[in-house]
Amino acid sequence: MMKTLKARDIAILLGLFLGGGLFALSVHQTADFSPEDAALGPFTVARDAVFEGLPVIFRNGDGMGKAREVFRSRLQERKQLALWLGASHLYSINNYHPGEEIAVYHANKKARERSSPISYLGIGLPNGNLNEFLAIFLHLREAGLLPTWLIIGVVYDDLREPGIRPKVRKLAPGLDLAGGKGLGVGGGNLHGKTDGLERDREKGSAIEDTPQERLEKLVVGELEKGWVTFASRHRLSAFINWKLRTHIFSVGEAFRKMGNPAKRVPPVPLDLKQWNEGALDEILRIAREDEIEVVLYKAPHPQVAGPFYHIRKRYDGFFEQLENRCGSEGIHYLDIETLVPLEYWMFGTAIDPWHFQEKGHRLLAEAIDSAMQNIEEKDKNALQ
Amino acid sequence: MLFNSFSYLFFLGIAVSIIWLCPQKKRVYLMGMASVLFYSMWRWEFVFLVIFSAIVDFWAAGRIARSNNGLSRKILLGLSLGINLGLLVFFKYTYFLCDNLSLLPGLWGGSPSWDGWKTFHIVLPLGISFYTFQTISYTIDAYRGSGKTTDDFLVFLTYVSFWPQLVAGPILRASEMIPQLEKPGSISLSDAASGIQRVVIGLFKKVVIADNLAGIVDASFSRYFTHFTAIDVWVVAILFGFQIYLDFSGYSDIAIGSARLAGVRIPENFNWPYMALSPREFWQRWHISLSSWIRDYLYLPLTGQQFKARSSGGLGMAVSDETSRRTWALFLTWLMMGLWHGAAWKFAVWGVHHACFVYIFRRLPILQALPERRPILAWLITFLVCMAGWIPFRAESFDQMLAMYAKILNPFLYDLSHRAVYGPHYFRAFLLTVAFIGIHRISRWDFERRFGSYLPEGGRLVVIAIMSAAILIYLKPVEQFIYFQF
Repeated sequence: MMKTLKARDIAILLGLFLGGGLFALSVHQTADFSPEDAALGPFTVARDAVFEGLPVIFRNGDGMGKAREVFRSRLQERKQLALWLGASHLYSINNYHPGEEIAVYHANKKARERSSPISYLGIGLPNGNLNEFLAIFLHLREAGLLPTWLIIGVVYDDLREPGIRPKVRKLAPGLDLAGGKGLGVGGGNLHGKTDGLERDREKGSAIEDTPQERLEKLVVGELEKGWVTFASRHRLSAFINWKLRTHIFSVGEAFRKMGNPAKRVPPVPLDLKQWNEGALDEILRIAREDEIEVVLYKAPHPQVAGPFYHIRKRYDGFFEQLENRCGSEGIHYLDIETLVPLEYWMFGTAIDPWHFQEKGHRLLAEAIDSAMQNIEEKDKNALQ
Repeated sequence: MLFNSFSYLFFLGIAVSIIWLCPQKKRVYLMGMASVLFYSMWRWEFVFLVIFSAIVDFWAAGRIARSNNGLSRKILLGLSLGINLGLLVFFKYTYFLCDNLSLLPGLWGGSPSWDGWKTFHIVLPLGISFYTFQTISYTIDAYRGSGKTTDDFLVFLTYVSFWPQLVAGPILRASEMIPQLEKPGSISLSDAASGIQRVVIGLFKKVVIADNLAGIVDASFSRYFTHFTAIDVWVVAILFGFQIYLDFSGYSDIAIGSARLAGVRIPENFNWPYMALSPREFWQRWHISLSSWIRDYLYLPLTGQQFKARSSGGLGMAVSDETSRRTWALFLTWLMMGLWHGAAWKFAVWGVHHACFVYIFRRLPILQALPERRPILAWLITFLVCMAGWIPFRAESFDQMLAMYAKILNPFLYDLSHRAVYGPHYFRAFLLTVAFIGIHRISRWDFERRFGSYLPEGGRLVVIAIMSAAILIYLKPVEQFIYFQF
């Protein structure tokens, strides 16, 4: 082998080493970055909540073992458990200030203040669809954990969400996906919007069940053990994607202004809508069988002047149908689309169309707990 | 084994180190062993299929080269082609053939009688389309007396199974590879640096850009297309056009770089295809080794022209010849090229789409003269023709392909106000096109003359550093290479 090196060769070899250094430095610089918060948007953070010493919110299908523990403990306290399923609006606060709490916390507080036996337990899935809610519900049911109440926040836009994310699918392996097979991975549209922030974690491996997969695990495992920085590289990829999305590709948003903003988001595909409606049918059927009281609410949405983000006719049509159905089947239905005033969705002049400030969380908690109180009173009156 | 993984880099590091340390004459055997190990990291049992294919052609080509009997040479050639193509048809086209044959009774009013074939489970061996073409070319070259044969089976096996190009090409000719394997040259540090640079560039294209485009393209083609406007269709076609280019040319870069690290030079497979000024020129720049193969072993024999014996130049270089007026050969060649890519009619449509435009450009003098008179317009037309070609290639079904074609042909659907694709995706398509043109222009600069030698090398250092850091961040074997399925 010749031992002479040209300037070009030195540049290549040195570049390789500098690349390693640049990588390590970048990982270090993003140590405080939270991919989950980034997925929520630039002004919003995900929050946990603890009430009376126990967590009352679980996110993204994580920590379900602890959720079951809390559930059991509340049942042992002879509380009426209200399982509250919803998308990221359940746990994320726009324009967050220290000390602020989410809706599930405030609802628990309200219930205690009026000496109600109701205890709220929230499970929030970012861009969660109704099939994923069904999977969570079945998972708890399988574990013998039946809530007294089931509250579901219905977000029209999430009817487009295909499939069930693997983490949630594992919770209810026996779930018959029927039409959902091959529809992709739950939260897929979230990942599409956020440039695959966590796509690689959700997606399977292209070398599954091959000897290479075992070798890959060994090599990556050793790298992660011997190089702490390497283990944090997922955070850095999420950070770069987030920066690209918010600072580079957001320029493409200008295209939105070129047309009718009433169709700013693609319409919800009919097959996915039907597939998710089927899941709702299943949830309601099981709830009826188990004598669980169901409360469905139309999730709050900012009332922005000008055209609506979806085709209004389809949006209204879906919720009208849902309300009529609830009326005829004795399911409690709340239309709180306009509950949260526009200023509570804002951060400066920007609007986060999916997540509101803490004041919005207080309003949501108030609306839900008041509705629950009314139902409790009606039930009492009916018994008398 | 998948290139876009840490396990491959680990394998490459070890294999190359051992090859470097090994005496030059023994190097070929180590390469052969490394190649078998590489392939067995996918499914070890299919290694025997590669070896079987190699044994058949080594034996047949050897006998053909030594024989003077025309009939026995023909029989041996037929045997080799029959076995190789038989295996390819069995593994790759059985489902397709059964599916289509089962529809035949329906043509005469009957109902499909037997669908038992659907219960067969046939695994498509990785790279079978590539190594089969390579072994076939070896035997045909021996028959034609134009290729170099070897008496050493292990050299031949290494030629067939050489790991950098085994699973997705470039498809190499024996005359290009065997001399390098039989008499390996010394490996310089410059070779090593060049190899590393190509691997870094290839991985960057694949894991940083193509894989990040994959999610967007997959979602666009799987779900929302019914709501697309014509411009939406163009945008997703362009996004896929760049995804497949960066995916496949990235693979080729890694293959060329890996081979260079092992002391073997293999020819280029891409040459800025989207800068072509005519469909014919596109085929001189895209998947050059396949289109050169098709040129030499299908198109030129069909048109009665003299074949070439190298995996460069592409198919485009042949179709403008005077004797190539046999239109049926043009369409048949591209039809076969399409079907080589996959056992589905949509791939045939992709091939015919290109044949149609090559034909139209050949027949219309105004289009023939366009590259010289109006190069920008020629580029734009060619770019759009190639991007529209990706619609059948990527479509999930024949129906989807027809629907998307119908949209771009409908002038009333050229409407931005009803678009269904997110604005940022439009921007991505625009950015990729501009970046491609920009990088192509920059690559043609004479840096040394403009800036002296230090500044360009400083730039190279920065680019390699950024690319390496990005690879460390994104490298994960999540996405297959698109061409692995072929």
